[in-house]
Amino acid sequence: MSDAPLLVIENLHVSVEGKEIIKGISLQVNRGEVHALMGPNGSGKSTLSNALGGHPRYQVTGGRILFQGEDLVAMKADERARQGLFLAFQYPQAIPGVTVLHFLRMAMKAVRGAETPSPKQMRQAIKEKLALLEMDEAFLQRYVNDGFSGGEKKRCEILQMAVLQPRLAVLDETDSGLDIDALRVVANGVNRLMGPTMGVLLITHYQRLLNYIQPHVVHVLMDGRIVRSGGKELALELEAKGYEGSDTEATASGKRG
Amino acid sequence: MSSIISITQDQLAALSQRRHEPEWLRSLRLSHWQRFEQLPEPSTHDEEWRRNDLSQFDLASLTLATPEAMAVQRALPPEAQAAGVRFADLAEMVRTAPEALRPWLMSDGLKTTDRKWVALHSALWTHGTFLYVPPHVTVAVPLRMTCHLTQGGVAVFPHTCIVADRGSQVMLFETTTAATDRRSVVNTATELFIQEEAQVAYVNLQAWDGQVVSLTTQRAHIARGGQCTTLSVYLGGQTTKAYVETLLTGEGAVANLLGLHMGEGHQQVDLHTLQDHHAPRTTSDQVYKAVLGGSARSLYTGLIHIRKPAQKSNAYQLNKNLLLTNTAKADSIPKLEIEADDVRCTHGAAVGHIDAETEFYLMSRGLSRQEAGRLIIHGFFEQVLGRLQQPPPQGAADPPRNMAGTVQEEILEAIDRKIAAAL
Ligand SMILES: Nc1ncnc2c1ncn2[C@@H]1O[C@H](COP(=O)(O)OP(=O)(O)OP(=O)(O)O)[C@@H](O)[C@H]1O
Ligand SMILES: [Mg+2]
Repeated sequence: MSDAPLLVIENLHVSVEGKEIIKGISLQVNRGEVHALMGPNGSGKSTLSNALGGHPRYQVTGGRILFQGEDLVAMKADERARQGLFLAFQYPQAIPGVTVLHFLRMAMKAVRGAETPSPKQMRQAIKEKLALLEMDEAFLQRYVNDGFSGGEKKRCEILQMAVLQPRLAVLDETDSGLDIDALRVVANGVNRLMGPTMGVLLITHYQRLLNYIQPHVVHVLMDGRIVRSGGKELALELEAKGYEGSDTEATASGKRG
Repeated sequence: MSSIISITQDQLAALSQRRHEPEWLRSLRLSHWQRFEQLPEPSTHDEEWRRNDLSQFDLASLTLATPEAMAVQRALPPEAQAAGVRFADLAEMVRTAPEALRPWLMSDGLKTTDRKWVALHSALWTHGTFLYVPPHVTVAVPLRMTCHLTQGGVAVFPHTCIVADRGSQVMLFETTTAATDRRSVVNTATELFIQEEAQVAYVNLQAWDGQVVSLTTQRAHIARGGQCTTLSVYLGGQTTKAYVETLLTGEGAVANLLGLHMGEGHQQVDLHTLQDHHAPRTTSDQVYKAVLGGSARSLYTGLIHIRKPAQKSNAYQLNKNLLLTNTAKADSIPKLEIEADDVRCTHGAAVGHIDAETEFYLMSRGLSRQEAGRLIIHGFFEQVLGRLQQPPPQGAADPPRNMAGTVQEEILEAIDRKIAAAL
């Protein structure tokens, strides 16, 4: 099983409330790879990320998703997390009354199961990750995403990722809302956590993030389909020319395979 | 309700005699009995009882509980005892030191209510606890008391009387449980007298089993500069009809009124709260929250009454409900009677469901649906539970350990058991 590729998406179709949003996507992310996913508003990026995460409202109507060789679609969201999948949300939810520290502990316990470290070890691990992300310890005593600024929410997502150490992280516009210093810190954090066994699917609108985190492949999603895939230079090109025209080049790049 | 356990006035007098009660107590019981007989029968035509099933409260088929029907335990640390704190069985106090009770027991506190079943309680009380803290004495640890009902088919009338004398400090944590096989009616009353500058925290964790129908009255009188925190946690019982009344009678009195309720199945919590401001510069801050699963119901009626002399007073009221199912139901009825003109007063109510996006967020972190729900409920209750603090000992240089911590943990454990049943 462990030899199987990290993530294989085959001809995936996803519907929300009966409406098809993802219209046949194929994609493979191997260990040690960063894939960037770009595309205009409403093209289906978050839908893909929600479908990967197992959101019950996002229905897989065709194709399949294999995570480390196992059928992801059959698993509930919590099981996917325990298998090593992590979603950094575009719009993280507030949980009033629950502190970040308590939440991190609950998540660690849930994901690690029998291998849960002792409370002391947990605290130590959390402190290390806080330092890595240049975050203040007082942050731990705040209620999860409750009254957080946009940037704080995104940092909190990466803090969770750092603590949970997933095999595959899907980062949905984690760079949006970050100022330039925060962007550098968060990107450095991701780079430090990224290892030869981990994979990242990076959803972003901005080429600037890719200056910090080097993608192996850049995909362009339009209207529920990947219309182009290429190297880092594709992001630069999109930045210069916009998405217009990507559609028409779809067939060409598609044939290139 | 009047066809009471077939007791007559003579029998009540005889009962009092058997218990060796002094004359003043016997006549107190009898006067309450007479009031009980005179007061009108509750009816579903009354606003107060409109939503209740009166047959649940029927006493005709029940017998009056004997002392053995309910096991009561209390623990008083030796230091507190040495400082003159009394924390004792009411019947025992009646035998050994009745004069210490006389100024307080069933006096102003309950006399002023015109509820038939409160009068019945005052006449018939079967079990009881008396807590007295002398002036300027601080009880450093929470006092504990547990009541466990072991018989079904009975009517029980437990009474708690708390007196915190001038400048004293105390926290009482009372837990009530039951293991019964038939319907019982528990008609409780708690009187709190918080004298000048005293600070009291009173926590009541109610976890009756499903056979119990309970009628609860709690009345706190807060004198000048006194501070009172009450936390009512209602988890058990088929129906709980509770009146939580706070009278701020002295200038500068402060009341923190907290409540947490959970229901599942066909449980019903029917709450009536009163924040009654009599004196200037008084503050009451009330937060009640309920989590309801199954076809459980919560009815909340909260009255803020600010009387004419109570200028520069603040009163806040918040009732929030979290529904776990589409069949659970919560209603909030805030009422305001403001007679003074220079006051601040707010109230709010909300009903909501567990948010599907929040649930997904938590599940994406590995938590099962149940665990996610539990965490959301914990967070929901935290705003209430987190406010339970034992007042810091006076003159303490270091910030004290949060004595309320163990109490909070115990409440959370009870809530968790309830969540496991409701989710
Ligand atoms: N839960 C939902 N309910 C209804 N419609 C949805 C839902 N989620 C997504 N959609 C619809 O699916 C389409 C794709 O939305 P999605 O959020 O995936 O886009 P996106 O590429 O992430 O856009 P953005 O760049 O703005 O974040 C949109 O038309 C959106 O309205
Ligand atoms: Mg999106």
